[in-house]
Amino acid sequence: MEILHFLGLENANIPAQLMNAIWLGSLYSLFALGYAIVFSVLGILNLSHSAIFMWGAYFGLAASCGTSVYDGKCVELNHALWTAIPAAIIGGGILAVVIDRIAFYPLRKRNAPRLSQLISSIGVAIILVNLAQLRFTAERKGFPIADVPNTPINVPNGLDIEQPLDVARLALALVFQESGVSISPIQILVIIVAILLMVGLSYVVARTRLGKAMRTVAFNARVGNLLGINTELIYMIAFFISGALAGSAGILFALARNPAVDPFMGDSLALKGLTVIVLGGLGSIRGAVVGGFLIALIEVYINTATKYGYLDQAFVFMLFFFILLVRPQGILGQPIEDRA
Amino acid sequence: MNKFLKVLVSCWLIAVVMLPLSALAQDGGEDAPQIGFWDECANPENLEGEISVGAVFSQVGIAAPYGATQLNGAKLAEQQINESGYLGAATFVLADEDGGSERETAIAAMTKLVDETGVVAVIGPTLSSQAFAADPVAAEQGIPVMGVSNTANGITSMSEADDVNQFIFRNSLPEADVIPNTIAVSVAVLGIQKVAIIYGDDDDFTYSGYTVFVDSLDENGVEILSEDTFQKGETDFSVALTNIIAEEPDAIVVSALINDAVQIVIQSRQLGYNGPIIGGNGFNSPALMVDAGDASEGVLVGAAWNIVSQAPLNVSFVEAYTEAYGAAPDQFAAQAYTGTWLMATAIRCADSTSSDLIRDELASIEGFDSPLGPFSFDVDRNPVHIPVVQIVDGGKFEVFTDAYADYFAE
Amino acid sequence: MLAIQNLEVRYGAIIALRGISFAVEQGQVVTLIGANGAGKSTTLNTISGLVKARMGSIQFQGQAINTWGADRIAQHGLIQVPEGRQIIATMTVQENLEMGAYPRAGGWLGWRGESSDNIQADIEDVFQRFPRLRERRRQKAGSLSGGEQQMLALGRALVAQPKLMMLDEPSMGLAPVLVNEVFAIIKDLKAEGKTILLVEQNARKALDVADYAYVLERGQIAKSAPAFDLRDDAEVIEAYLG
Repeated sequence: MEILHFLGLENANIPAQLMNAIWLGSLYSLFALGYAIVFSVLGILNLSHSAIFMWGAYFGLAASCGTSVYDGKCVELNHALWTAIPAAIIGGGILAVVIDRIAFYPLRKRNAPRLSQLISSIGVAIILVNLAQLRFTAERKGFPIADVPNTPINVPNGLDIEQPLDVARLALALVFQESGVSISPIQILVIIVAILLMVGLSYVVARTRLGKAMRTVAFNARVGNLLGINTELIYMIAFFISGALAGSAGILFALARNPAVDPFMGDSLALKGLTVIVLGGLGSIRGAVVGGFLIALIEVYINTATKYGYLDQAFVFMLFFFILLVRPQGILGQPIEDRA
Repeated sequence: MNKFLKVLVSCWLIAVVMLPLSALAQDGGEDAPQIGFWDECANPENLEGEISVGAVFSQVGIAAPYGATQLNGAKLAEQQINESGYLGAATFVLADEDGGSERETAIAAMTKLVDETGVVAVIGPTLSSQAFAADPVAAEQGIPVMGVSNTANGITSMSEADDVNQFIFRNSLPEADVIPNTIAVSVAVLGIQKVAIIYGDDDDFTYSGYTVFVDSLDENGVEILSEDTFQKGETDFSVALTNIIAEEPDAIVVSALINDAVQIVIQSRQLGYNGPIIGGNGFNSPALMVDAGDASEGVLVGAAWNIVSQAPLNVSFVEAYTEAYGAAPDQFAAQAYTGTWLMATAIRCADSTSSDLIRDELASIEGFDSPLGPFSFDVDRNPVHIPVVQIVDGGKFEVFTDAYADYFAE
Repeated sequence: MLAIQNLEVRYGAIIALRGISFAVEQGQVVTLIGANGAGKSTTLNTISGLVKARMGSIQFQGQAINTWGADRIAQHGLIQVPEGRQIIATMTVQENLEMGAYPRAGGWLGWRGESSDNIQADIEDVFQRFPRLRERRRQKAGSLSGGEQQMLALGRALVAQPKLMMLDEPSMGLAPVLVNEVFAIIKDLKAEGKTILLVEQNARKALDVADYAYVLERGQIAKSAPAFDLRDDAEVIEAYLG
């Protein structure tokens, strides 16, 4: 109790806040992974990542709501809700590949400096946000509230003890309620999807031929070429995976925080994702995950201890400076000499 | 003969004086009471021809949705004024000019009305920012101008010259007047003792709403347990709300724009909070019920006007408006309707088209019964009327009364 | 096997190769010698497809390959061991060798690729040849010494089952003992019947091991003759062996 007082947490609902940190951390990590993939393979920051995140949400919305979402709010689902998720993942992936072809490939061909590629991606982000404004207006949109399972898991009425599923729900609900934690099915889905994608990606990068080819190209594209690797294809795949991650983060966020889809929904994540990967180690998959959860934890802690929503950002950036000073490569990044 | 003459005179008197009176009595007997200073000011004798009053409402741009219902409300008033013969022999003409949604377009419309159309007074423009830019155009020439939707601070004292300010009026309650009433009524009905506040600290509107909330809470002796802040573009409030709920407040007070308001309401309900949520004017939107759904039940919001108010003049206004336009009026329509009647009243009482006299009569209006309730201007030409407190109940805004004392008790 | 005709390469205004022609026959070791900046590496990189020629033709096993991408050329068994080894420092020795067999394994999807047992057998052959690599197979390649890295680079190329190996300055930056070791390996490869195009600054060693030699000077072939003859050529001795 002494220590809680010292940390300013004596009144906090710690289990609930830990759950908040896990859910936010999953979201940040999922988003930052996409940044990290492209950075590791191409050595460039794709700052249009947050715009892909936003478009992913619109792709998902359009997939299950149909064209009615162009002109107004989505009042009725045209297709099942789950169709939104593959639509966002595939749409986000394809959009990222298109962005690479338009904004990065021509510069890469000419060996343009990385700075111009960075600026190019900022330009793409602005254009994508404006296009979304033009197509969907700035009005915030979402799925029909009744269709999204984002009410918290509570001990439900009329449970049938014969049904194993109901027993599982009851157990889950009791655990959550006893600890004062409130979480919705969608949030659990976000956490599960994030963990699966993180584990899956780590496996792909570490163990598969694709992952090894990506690491080779990341180390040196010319060497990859001489080894018979089609580097442009690898770039395309890297962009697709990155966009798919952004799209999945976008749609999962849109579902969990329904209604949350507007052209600016990616703005606050853009900078956060950048902080996450710099903190975790540029281009490191595990770094993105560790960084994501770390930042979520810091945010939750500062917010809980100080009550000021803006202080957590300041604190994150203080940590950011500190890490850059003592470990410029990030927490899990390799030392720069090794990468060269 | 004398007797006969007396009877004759009496009959004549009865015929001339009493019959119209009884006709009037019959007219008003069934219907709701008539709006207007019919008795306070005598029937005008000097007015004739067409009297033009300008209307600068936004018909295009971002403010167009508001401007459209404003124009509807004003036109309904124009029609009633003329049908009832409120201005005697004269016809009240609403000279409407599209004010767009920009400062420049409002200035252009105002200039045209004052210089070309020759209006005696102006109603509008729609946006506060437009009012700051365009009101001086009329006021500097001694033409009274009345905002019917401007809620920003300082509208009626915008000019350095006080004789210019004297011509600037508004009938739209600023937020600083709505919030204290919301707090006072909520505290009285629900017995609130301690609250937690969450507000956007990077926006003028939400920040000034927050300061008014704090002052009102102090005045009512309510303890503020904590103050949390958020910034534009944030969509996750679960961390702050978890902290707030852990403090077990009697109510959560929120100063936020509608998108953030929706998220805060949804997320507090998701985190298991079922108590009252008191919102600022940012909550005053149908989007609250549409986007937040069931989560919005039990949200308290102050407003200048509520459609379900059972005041007789409001009932008749809502009926007439719905009949004329096939849709229910909103607050903007009600304020524009009332504003147009106020302007006509000033003209009737002045019994003149002199803008100076009209201004003086406008400034002295007191206790004018309207859809907004009994209405007066204070010395600074700001509106004085009792705002309503609304509660979301059954998916719509209802008037929050003592009947709701046990609503949250469970 | 490899025939170069009239190859011209420019980097902007700089002419790096001024129309060179030469050939490598099956089972031959051919060396290109010359001073720094003569165009040796440019020649290899052009053959590999990393640099595009302005004019001329490159024929490999009767196919014109000058329009192909570098990856496709490598997939056809024309394997370069680049200057400075260029092993993948962030990967283990085993993974580096596996990457050598990337085209054999069928690319990233593994379509119509060889079985990993086949490939692992070839990797075992490399370990046989370079036992030190076996000891370090789980180590990051970046932690190897210079000599070990060169062996890894050669091993990686061998796993690709090259039809023609192009070695770019394999002895560069190595201690004299290691230089001898590298040339001993090249001799072994020659004895096994491998076809090799060798670019070297160490002309004496290169001429010792090669069948035929070309001398490059400022982007042009100044001399060409059987390697044995050039070892006694006065000009060559003065310029490169002195």
